Amino acid sequence: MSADTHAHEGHDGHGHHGPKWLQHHFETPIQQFESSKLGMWAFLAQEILFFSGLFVAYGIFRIAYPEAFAAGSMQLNKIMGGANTIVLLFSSLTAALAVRSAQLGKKDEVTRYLFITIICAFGFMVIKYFEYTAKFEHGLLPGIHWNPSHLVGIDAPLDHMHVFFGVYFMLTGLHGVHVLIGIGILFWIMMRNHNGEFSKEYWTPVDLAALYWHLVDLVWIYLFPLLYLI
Amino acid sequence: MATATAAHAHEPDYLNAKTGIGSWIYTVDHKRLGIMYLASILMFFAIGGFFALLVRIELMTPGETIMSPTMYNKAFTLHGAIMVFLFIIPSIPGALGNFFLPIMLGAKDVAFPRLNLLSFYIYVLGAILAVASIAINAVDTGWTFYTPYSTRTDTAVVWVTLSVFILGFSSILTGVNFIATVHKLRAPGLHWKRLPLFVWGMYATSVIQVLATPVIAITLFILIMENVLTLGIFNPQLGGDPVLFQHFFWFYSHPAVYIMILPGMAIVNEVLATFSRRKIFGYMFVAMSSVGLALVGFLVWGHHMFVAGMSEYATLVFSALTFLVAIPSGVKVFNWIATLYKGSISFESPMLYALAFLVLFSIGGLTGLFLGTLSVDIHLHDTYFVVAHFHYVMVGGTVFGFLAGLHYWWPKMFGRMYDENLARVAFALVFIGFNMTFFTQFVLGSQGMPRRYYDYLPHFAPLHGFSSVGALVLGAGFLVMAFMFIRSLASGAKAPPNPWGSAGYEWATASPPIEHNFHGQPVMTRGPYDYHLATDEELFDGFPEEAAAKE
Amino acid sequence: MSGDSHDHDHHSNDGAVHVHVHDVSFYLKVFGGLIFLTVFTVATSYLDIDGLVRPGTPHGAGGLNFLLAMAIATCKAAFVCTWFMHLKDDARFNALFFVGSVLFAGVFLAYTLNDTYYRQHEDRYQGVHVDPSTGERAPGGLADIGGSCEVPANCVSYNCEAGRCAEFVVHHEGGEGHEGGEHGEAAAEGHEGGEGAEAEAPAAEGEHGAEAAEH
Repeated sequence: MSADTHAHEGHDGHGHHGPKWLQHHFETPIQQFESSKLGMWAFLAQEILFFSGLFVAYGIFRIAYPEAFAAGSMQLNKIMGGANTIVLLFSSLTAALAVRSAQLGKKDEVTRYLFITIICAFGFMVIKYFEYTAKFEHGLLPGIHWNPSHLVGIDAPLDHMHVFFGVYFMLTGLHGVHVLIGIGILFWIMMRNHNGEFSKEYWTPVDLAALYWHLVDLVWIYLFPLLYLI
Repeated sequence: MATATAAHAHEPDYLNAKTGIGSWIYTVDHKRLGIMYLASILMFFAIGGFFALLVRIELMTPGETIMSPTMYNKAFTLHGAIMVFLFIIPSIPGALGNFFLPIMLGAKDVAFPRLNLLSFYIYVLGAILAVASIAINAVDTGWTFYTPYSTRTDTAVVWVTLSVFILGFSSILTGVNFIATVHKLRAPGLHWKRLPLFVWGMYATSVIQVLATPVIAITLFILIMENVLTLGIFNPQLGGDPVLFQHFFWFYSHPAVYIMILPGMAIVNEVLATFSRRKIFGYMFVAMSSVGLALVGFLVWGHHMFVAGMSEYATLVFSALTFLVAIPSGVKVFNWIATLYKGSISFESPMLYALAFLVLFSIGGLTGLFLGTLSVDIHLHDTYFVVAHFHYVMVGGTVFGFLAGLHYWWPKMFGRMYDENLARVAFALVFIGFNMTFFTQFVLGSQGMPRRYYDYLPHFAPLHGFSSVGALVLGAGFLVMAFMFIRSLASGAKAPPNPWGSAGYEWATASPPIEHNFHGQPVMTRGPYDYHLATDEELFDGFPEEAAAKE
Repeated sequence: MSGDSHDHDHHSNDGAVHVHVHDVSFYLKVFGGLIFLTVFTVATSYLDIDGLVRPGTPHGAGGLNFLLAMAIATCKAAFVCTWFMHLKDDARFNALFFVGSVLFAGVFLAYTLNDTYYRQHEDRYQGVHVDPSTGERAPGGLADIGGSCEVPANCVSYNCEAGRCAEFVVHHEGGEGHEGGEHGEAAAEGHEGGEGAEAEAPAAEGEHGAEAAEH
């Protein structure tokens, strides 16, 4: 049994004279790669459940206050929301292409794609900024700050409309925080790529950063129709 | 690292491999992180225990004994919050899991050692915030932070919930780390059917940590924002639903009791097998019941809310589903008893704690069925019966499991034996004190004594007094135990690699283990409970060098 | 493709990472699909599908717009997961774990809805009636945000703007600990729920019957 601690002669017999990106406790690159991927997917699973709380709150209050939610949704700008959706989808495309280039070991292409992704992320935040300032100006704020001065499609504010904006600001705010964190991560990975840390054999961090970025996109794919369209 | 065994006969152990403060602060060694967790959680166990004693001393006599009602509310809140969030949840995974999971897998470390370090420091940050909140204005909401009170009280709810929010991420990252480790870092020959049951338990725990903990994070985040910005999600004055908070809270906190109890059960498997020298009866059933508990645990949270004003449909569904939990729990208890049957049992202190676990957990689990029964719960809800049930599961279960593990693995972790007689004295005090404290509370609760009350009717006084005396005996037991362990560290006899003669994988390495756990890559050729396949050399409980010298 | 990523203890493996690399045009096609679905979902939001299917239904009341939008969003999410995130080529367990997390979120939503959706129904057994649209008789009671500032009966010092009670009356006996007796303020809203409570506990006074039934 294990007690004998046999010398393990697997994988061409050497101990750990592997490439320097192979951490000492892994035997092979594939083991490190698959561990990282599994860890990342588990992390993404927790992100889903992290957001789930707000989605549940949305569902509960949408059923409790349907008119207020419909009226609240009308106050949001579908065009801006749609534009942001397209910006995020495009950034997801460039993130996927960055991974593809990394798989092929094309360092400069990876930097270029990651750069475009980061620009799109900033674009998303800029559009979000304009949306938020409009809401602030019109007093469309949650809780005790609710003080509507400009309403679209309805004459007077409905009861509990502020709950819609409570959920709206929590969901988009938390998503926005994820975008900001994503910008940081993508920038970090871009710099590491620029420094030549990655190669055709080792590009796991690019893959993981892209996975995180796709998750940010996934959340928005649901936020957009739930908040803006229906 | 080369692989020859002989060349490393005198490799220093993990405690001495590197020296200096920096070698601890920046360490990514899972064993050192386990020790750092152990020190932290034991400190918070002592603090939480201190508040528990304050609560029990206050309740020793009717009316004011030592503190005001406001202080009392703060004391029981701090006892609960510290014990749950800073002690029980990180205790076994953080300390013993970190130390032994990679060793039992024959791995050099967890899958993500730096993440492991980050996870520890997130825990430290959360702990600092929690302590700071006591200094700012200690909360008096109870550890559950129920709305609407928590959106109204002027105490430091925001600080302490922020602390729990942060602690949650420590738990999540540990879970992510363990899942990847169990899947990808198993030694050659260690397939899923050979996995030690401790690893199975930690694996099931990790799944819950990853899937449930984010929900408490978002819940407390909404609560913080409800306090800071006002949202109208939980605050009924703004159109929110305070019962929704309870749903959110218990979606995490019910699975969280399995985060607490599964590791305790996991340790009991190891201890029972070792001290009855038998293969675990129904290995796959026990392993699968851990995973089953983890999954079923997600479906029953509403049984905490039967009288909170939930719809009757929801209460019926939750009550019915609650009974499902009894199935995997029963599978475990019956298999443990079957493991003991015809085993060659010896009663060293780890085994005493494990056997006590069997008794106390059975009491705690069965009284849980009373509480899961809708009609009975209407009477028992928010009484001392709930308090007693909870403590039988959490102390009688998790803490006794943790203590079993701590005694069992102490020689492996520190390379020192402890005074067995003193350990048995401590066990007797803890066991008697615990039952005095909490069995009494079953009686009090069924007579209608409500939980969390500062004062009580005079006819409850004798039982309250008895319970408080029990708490003092319990506290004395822990003091004896602390003395016993400190003395072991200072002057304990040197421990052999396998002092209990166990067939478990972790005993194959030195005590304490070397930095990379094993010399070379171990290969598993038998299961961890296969006493019939283990050689005499593997089960030898003395020092191999001395035995070799004699020959 | 998927066949390339073996479990690490397969001995046929050389230990290096092999993945299938898709063409750029493949990713562009996926992106095209996503953009099409986005435009489509925005377009359908201008339609009143419920009214088209069954004339006379108020806008959004039939839920068809909602279902369609969610179906489209799920298609888009599936595109991103399957191809952008390479879940199709990835280890099966990763997909299982991720999809499992969505299922747990579904359990969370479904069970919570099973409570809140039916909660307005009278609950004679518990004598408790919590109306989520007003928060009425919710544990802790309420003071309506729009209305005048109702100071709860058990509150000594009340902050109307924050809706907080700074200091409560301390109850030593009966009541619910520090939240004791807060149901008093629900009287401002009238109390249908009180009837059920009184039927259960006729001796108790008005809405305090609910509380008595809890203990």
